[in-house]
Amino acid sequence: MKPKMAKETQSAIDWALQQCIEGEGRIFCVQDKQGNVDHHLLVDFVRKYFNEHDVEYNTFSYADLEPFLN
Amino acid sequence: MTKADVQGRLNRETNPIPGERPGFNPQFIDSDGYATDVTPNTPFPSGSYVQTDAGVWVPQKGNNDGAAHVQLTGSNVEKIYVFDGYAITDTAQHSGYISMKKYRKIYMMATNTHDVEVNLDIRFESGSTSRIWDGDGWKTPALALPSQTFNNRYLINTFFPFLNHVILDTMEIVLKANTPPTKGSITVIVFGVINK
Repeated sequence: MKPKMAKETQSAIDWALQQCIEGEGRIFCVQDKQGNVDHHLLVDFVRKYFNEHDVEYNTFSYADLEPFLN
Repeated sequence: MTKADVQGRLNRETNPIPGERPGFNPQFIDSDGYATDVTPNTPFPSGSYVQTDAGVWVPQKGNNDGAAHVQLTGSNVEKIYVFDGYAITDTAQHSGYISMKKYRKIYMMATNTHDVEVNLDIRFESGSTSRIWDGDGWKTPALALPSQTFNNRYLINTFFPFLNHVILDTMEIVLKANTPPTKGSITVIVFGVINK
C-alpha cells in the first residue's frame, strides 16, 4: 500500500532539486543541467528535509515522490 | 610474375641463392586454380567470417566503401529498478520482485545510503527462503550492505556468482534493516540481458 505523503512533500522536493553533494572529488546533483533527476539522491534529500523540519513519515520511495514532480 | 603459367603449379623465387634450388614465393591458389604471388596488388585473400545460426561460417559482407556491413538491433539490456530510492524507516521485511523469464543474464547493483547496514536476501521463485551450497553447507543467499555514501555501488554478482548463471521465473529480493534507519535510502537495480 502506498504511503500517504506529508503535506510538506512538495516543499521538500522543491528544495531537494536544488541540492548537490560532493563525493571523492566529484559533485553529484539531484538534478543535472538537462533536467534529469537522480532518483536516489532526490529521496535522500527529501528525507533530509523531513528530518530537519520534524516531518513525520513512513517508508517511502521515489515512486511516491513522482506525482509531486512537474 | 604474380600468376603461374601452369594451373596448380607453385611459383618459385626468380633470384635464388646461386647453386640452390629456387624456393617457393608467398602465394595462394586463386579461384581459377592458378598460383598467385602475394603482392600489394594481390594480397592474401583473407577476410572476416561470421557464423550463421546453423553454425556455418560465411564471409562477412561489406559496403562499397569497404566498411563492414553492420545492422543495429538496438539495446538488448533492460534496467529494472527493484528498489528505487527506497527510504526504509523500520525493521520490517520489504520485498521486490523481478520476472526473470525474458533475461538470459542479469547483473544486480545496489547503493545503500541509509545510516545503518541493510540485509539483502535473495529468494528464488519467491515465497520461501532459498538455500545455496557454498562448499561447506547450505546457506541462505543473504548479505549485509554497509552504510555508504551515494557514489558507492555494490555489484552483487561479485558476492553471489550464481547470479551469473541463474535461470528462474521470478526472483524476490528482500531488504531488512536490523535497526530502523533514520536517513538515506537504498536502490537495487538489475540489468537484464534479454533472450534472443
